[in-house]
Amino acid sequence: MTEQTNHTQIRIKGHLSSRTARAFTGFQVQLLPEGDTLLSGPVEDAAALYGLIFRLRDLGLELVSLQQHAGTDPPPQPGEPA
Amino acid sequence: MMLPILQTKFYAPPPPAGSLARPQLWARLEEGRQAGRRLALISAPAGYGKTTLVTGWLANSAAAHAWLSLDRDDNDPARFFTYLVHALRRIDPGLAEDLPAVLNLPQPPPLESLLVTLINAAAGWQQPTCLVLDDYHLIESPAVHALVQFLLERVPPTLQLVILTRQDPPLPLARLRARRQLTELRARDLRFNLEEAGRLLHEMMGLDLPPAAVQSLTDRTEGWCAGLQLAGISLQSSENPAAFIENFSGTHRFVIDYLLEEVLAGLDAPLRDFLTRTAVLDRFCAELCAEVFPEGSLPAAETLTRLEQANLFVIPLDEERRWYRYHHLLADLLRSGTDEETRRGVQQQASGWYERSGDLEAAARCALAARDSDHAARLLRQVVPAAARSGQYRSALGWLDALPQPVLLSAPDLAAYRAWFLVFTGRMEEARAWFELLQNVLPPDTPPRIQGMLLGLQAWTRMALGGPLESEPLRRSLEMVGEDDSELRPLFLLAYGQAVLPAGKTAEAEDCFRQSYRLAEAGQAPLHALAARNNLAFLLNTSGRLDEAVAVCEDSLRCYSGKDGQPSPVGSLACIPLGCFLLVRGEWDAAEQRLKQGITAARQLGLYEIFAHPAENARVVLAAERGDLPGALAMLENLARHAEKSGLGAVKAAVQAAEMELRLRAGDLEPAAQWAARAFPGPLPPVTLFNHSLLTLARLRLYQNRDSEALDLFTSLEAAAQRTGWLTDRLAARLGQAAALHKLGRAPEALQALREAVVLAAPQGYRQPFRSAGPLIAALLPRAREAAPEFVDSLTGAPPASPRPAAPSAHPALVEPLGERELEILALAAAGLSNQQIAVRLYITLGTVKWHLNNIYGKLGVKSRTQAAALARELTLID
Repeated sequence: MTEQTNHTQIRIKGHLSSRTARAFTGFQVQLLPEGDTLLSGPVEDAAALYGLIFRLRDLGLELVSLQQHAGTDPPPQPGEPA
Repeated sequence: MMLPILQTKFYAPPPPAGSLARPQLWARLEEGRQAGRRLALISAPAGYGKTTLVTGWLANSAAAHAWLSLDRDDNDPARFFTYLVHALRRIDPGLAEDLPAVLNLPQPPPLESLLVTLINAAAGWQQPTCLVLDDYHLIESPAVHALVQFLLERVPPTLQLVILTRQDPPLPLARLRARRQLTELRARDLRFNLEEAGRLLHEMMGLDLPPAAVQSLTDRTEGWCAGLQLAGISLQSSENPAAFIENFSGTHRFVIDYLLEEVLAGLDAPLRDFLTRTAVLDRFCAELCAEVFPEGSLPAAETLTRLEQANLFVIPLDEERRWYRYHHLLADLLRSGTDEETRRGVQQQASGWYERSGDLEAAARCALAARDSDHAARLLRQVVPAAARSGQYRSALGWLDALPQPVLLSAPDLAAYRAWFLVFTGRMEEARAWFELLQNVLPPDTPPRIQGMLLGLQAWTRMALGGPLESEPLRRSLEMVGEDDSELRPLFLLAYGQAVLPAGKTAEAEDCFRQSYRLAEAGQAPLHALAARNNLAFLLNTSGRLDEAVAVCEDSLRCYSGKDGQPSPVGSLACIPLGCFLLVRGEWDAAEQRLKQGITAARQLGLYEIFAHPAENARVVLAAERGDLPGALAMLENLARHAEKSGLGAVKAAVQAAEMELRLRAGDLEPAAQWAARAFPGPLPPVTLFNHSLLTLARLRLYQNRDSEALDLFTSLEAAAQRTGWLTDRLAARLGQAAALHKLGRAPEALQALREAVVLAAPQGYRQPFRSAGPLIAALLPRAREAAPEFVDSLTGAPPASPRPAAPSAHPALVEPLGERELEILALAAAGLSNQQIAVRLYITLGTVKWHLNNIYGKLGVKSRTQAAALARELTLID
């Protein structure tokens, strides 16, 4: 369970419009060439993470993958999610 | 005021015009229902057409249905339950009529037990019925999940639960699947196949597309209903469908995002603006739309109709087409594109509109959403008392906790209600901390009612945390709470009466109970009234006014009866004291019947823990009186478990004392001795109050032949009972004295005490105290016959006296005559009692019995008790 702020990367199917991306304030939005969207940003704790997942659910978004790295900084390479 | 029930939550939205019939899926649902599966689960992401599918199925099903659209506030179990009942009342209008009375209680009952009432009612329905819970993913409260699971485990074959959700609920789905009790439709089932997509686009939306176009739309949307519909809407107004489809297929854009942009782009600016602003609201009607969209040139009513006709995701919430909401998915997408300031502005306007139209609860919610704390607090001051009366403590607590603490503290009434909700949802430690905080911050000009409420609640909290119920704070709180405050006063009067009663202030307590029930009746709080009436009845019985006590109960049964003349469940609670009093009078069959009736009512109302204990205790005594000792002990064991669970200290102590009484009667001294050593270690403090544990201890001493100790204890108890003047206590103590005196050889004093008890008890027929006083009293009782012959005969069951033959001790046939004690023992042995039983009956040790028996055998010249009995009968030494 996440106890501290973690840098989180969420990969979502399809490119998000800037309107929908506004639902994820504080996140960097990256449209990947393969056709997915990568949201990256700090997630404070487990409760915040679940809040985020429920927001994805309510907007009908399809979650492809989710990764967390300790610390608030993004990993050097956004890279491919596992 | 009670919180209004939102009727829109029970309305199954009609399948929108242009929605597709899905007969294969309907058939799967209908077959599952007919096969008696308990649950139909439709679990798929937003926009998969779950609601439309189910409303379409139900419109074509042989089953009736009750619909409930859930929202986040239904995480309050009381609110969820209330709406559940109201939904089911569409099927069975008379369902759970007593519900408001129960939810109005300070301590809400366990809802599971109330559910049983619903389940039993549903089992009797003629027509099969589906109970639909839409948007179940909004439920996250474990308490509500537990209720649904409880329901699911017990649904009768006539009722099927239908759950629509975006995520699998935490119910035992695997088990249901394995037992074939589940019909399940998931995203893969709900996706439109090519044929369905074609029918939707061509037949329902009036498009004319080549097969390849349908194929590519289906591929691109993956059969997602919302996607296909949005695509269809765009295509309806598109000049170049082929180009649209090509662009759509060629982009990586998120399906709904892309299509929504397309649809919005196809609308004129005012309509787009209208959608964006109104989408902030959970539900809306034309007037409310006009409020939040005033500058627009669009007439709201027409715009709504237009949106519905264009199938732009507005969903009607009632038959009259007054209230609407947007499709949740679209509303969420539209909202995410709206900035915070706009959203708050819209909520603020909506709050004002709701307030003017009288829906204060909705106004308060909108004000909270707008973070307009001062306005919200002002509204909550009116809404929160109503929520308290409706039993929706958790919702109300949620609203109060959404306020910033400084705002809450500057409104003492809201702060006090927060304490109320904490206390009556059992969060005692938090309540204590809250009281401490309030003490230092409440302004001196806090209204007396609020100060009184806090004082009373604090006294209650201290008791719940293990302290005594203190009368002084309750008295002061009563001074501060208004004379006609039918909400607080009945509760505090009842508590105050209970608090002063142990000190013997009978008249004052009686007055409190009477005032409490009258005020509660005036304020239409029947349960509070019944609680006060029952307390009054018990008090009357204790103080020697058994006839009046019975009359109070009979009056309750008359006053609280339904249309059929039968007492309502609330009224039937009066059977609990009534059954106890019938037992006191010795009317066992009638007592048994009333006790059962009372316990059933308490269970039905979910109030077993609060109300049923005296009745259960009386049933134990009754079973023991009828000779079913193992049954009585088993019942006690059950009660002890309940007391342990409910954590009620007083009940626990009473159950233990009752068990020891039974053990003593069975001659099982050891457990009682151990209990006494635990309960009363060291020397006894002086007795100031009559106490049942002490009474049991005194009786134990008598059985242990520690007669002087017993006498001292009974005498102290008698003095304590004199101070309160309570007859039942006086009888118990006086009879104990009589037994102890007799054993100590002070026969005349013993007889005097016994006569006194008979004189006190006879006029109103207090019989049970004599039975509970033990076998010695039963044996001595005939000697006090002349004090009240009929009464004594009714206890001894003696036929109008034919005096026993004179003491046969001088029987000539015996060389050495039998002594009085020996004759007594011989008679008991001949009657089939074991040595142990004889020892108990005569308050002597087992060794003494054996010693006497040996002497008897010697004198009679026999070798066994059978021979002894036979010879003794022959010689008419015994009857």
